[in-house]
Amino acid sequence: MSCSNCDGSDDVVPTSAPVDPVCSPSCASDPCISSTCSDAVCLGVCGSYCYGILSCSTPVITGIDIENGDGDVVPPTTVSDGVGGTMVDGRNNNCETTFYESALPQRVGFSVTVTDADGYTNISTVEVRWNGNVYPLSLSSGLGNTAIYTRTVDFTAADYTNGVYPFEIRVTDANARTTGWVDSGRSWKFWDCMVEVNGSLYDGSSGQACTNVGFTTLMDETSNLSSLLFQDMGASDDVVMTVTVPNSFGTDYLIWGKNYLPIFNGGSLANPDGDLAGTGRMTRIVDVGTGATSCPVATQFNIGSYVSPYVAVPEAKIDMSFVQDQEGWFQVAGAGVKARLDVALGVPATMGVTERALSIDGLRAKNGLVSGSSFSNINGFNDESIYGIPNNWRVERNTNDSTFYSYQYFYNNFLIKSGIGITGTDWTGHPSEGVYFVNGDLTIDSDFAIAANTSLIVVVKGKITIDESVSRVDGIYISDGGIEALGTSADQLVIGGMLYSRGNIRLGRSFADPRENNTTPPVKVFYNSNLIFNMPGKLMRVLSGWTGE
Amino acid sequence: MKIINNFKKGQVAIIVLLVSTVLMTVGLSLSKKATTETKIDTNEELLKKAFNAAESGIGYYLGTGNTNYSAPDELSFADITAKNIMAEGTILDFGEYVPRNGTEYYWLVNHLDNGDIGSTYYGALTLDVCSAGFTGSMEINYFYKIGTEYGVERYGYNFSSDVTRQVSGFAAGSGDCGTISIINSPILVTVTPIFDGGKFYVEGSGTFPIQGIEINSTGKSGGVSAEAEGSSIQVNKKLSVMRRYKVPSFMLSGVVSETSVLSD
Repeated sequence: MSCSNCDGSDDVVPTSAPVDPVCSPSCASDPCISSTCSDAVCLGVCGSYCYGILSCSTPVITGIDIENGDGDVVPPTTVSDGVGGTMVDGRNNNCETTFYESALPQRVGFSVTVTDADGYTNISTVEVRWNGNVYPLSLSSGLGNTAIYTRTVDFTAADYTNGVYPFEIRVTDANARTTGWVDSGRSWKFWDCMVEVNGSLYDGSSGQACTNVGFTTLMDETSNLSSLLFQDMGASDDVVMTVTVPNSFGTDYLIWGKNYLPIFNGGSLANPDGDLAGTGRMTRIVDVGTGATSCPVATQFNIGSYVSPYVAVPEAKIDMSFVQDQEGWFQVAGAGVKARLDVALGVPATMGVTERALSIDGLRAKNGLVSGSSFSNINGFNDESIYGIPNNWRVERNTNDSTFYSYQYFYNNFLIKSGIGITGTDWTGHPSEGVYFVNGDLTIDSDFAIAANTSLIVVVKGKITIDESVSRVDGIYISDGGIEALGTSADQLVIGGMLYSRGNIRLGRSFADPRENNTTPPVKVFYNSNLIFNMPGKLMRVLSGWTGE
Repeated sequence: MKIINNFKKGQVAIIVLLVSTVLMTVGLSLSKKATTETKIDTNEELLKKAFNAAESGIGYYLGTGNTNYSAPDELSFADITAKNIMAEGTILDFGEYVPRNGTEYYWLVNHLDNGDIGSTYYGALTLDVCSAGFTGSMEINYFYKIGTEYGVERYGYNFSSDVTRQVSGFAAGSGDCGTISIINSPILVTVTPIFDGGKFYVEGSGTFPIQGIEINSTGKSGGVSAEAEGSSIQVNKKLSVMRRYKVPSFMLSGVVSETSVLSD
């Protein structure tokens, strides 16, 4: 489209434009109105002078890029479309990692692409407006009808806002034709990144499931809560929470977008629950602003993944549920524990620190080495200190002798060759001392305390089961088919002696009131070297065997 | 004609002589082989008898204390000698290799003849457990008696600078030895090498009790009786056994499984 002056030539500036007094344009009476553009502005007609304009096209905004402080383009955010996919949300904020971790965290760059059919040189101004502030852009490059205008804006704390405001763009050309303020489709929140946080600790001993099961009963005064640190897993912006004993913390502030690992009571990465009287942590995060509730799968989480930054005041309630009642477990006093394969201990965090180990000192017996091909803790307390007190000795490998002792070995050497021992089929037949052979399974269903200066060896071809009703059994117990002490009991099971089996040894008995498991081992083995040296000399000689060459 | 006959007779004689020579050679050869095989069979039989005699001699000695054993068939015998296994000076060294996870036993109290523990104790304040050039870890148990009760102290030493070959929490070994303190009435020291096997010994200024006996039994078979059968072969077989008091290694720990130890 082309417009003409009254004289028919283009772009001829009138020579007699009145300036004083300024005349009022009146295109309606302009004789050349019919030859100007339909939207032409009659710029300077007073009397017989008038002219139209050459360029009639309005500029067009064809794109906008947002860049971080490193000059990297930041794509528009996406959100769930509710049907398994995502859709462009278009919102960004300065606490996103791409901004927060850039060289200039508070800088935003704009790159706006515009076109004008009258040529890019006809474009005169490009502006961005955000939250009432207008930021003019500069021509960066142009070719033909297209130009790119850019600029950076360094926001400051004075720009903090609770709202999310769109970036609007206005382009004006030399002929005053303008796009007006146009929503770019991108919006922006510039804030302090602080997420208000508080939370509670719950007793989930009776069960846990996201989002409500296990989050109804607050931990009681036995929680042992003393401190809570939200450790920043990416940098050093750790946050020490304000704790209120026995079960709450906050209000404090986390930085949106950061990964945190909540560590209780001076714990560590390996043992984040410290000595809190609870294990099996389940975390629930409530986005107070949106009402959304989520349960992070891992113990550490990115607060930005669970709290919307685009509400006026981002706020989270971080609740954690723990199993306060520990599973049954066992402890050995005065010796170590050895397994050719796995050692699944259960020392709970709730145990008093002076005896919080698998192996502790006994009566006239120092604690010993714990060895096995692998270790785990069924109660989740995986601190390095739990293997032994005072000797925290541990080696992750088999240290068992190459000799596999068996029922047949002892039967042949004791009974057949030396006439030592008696046989039986159940626990009622066991002697008070000596050697007792059972060619099958054996259930120990009554207590047995050994007399002073005596020794008892029980050798079983099958499995030894220690009944729930038993609270005390002494002796050296050997089995081919495993040893078990399971179930529940009101009393602690004390085993005075040693246990050896070619099969699994399972000592998972629990107190009837599982809370007792927290502070007392339901099964405790007291190593007793009297049982070795009180053996009759004849027995010792048989045990010693022979070597020849 | 007579000349011809004589010539023919000579030929026959030569042939007969040659054939006889060949037959005799073959016969003698077979005879020698048979004799040799008979001798081998005899030697193997004698060796078995000598071995059995030596073995029986040990049992005979342990049962009777006598040092001359004669088999019931009176064709084999055993001469038995026995000597105490004891320290040489301040060092008690059995001179044997202890494999990884095996256990060596050093008694610090004497045993009575019936196997019971006596009351003569090693008398120094410390004891070094050593192994030249050992680069594994030592798990050491020191058993003692106090009053009528027994107790145990436990020690652990790492001798490797490689952390992957160390037991977590064990002390660093100094030189080739780990030192243990003798408290109360010492009974027994056990040493279990981890990661590597080795040859171990203990050294201390106290008097080590007798650790056991070494019994040597030389079984003999053949000889006079064999000569009576036309042979002068006598076969000897020597057996040596060491009898030392030991404890099944699982009794040194509280809970031991050849598979897994579990809490559930």
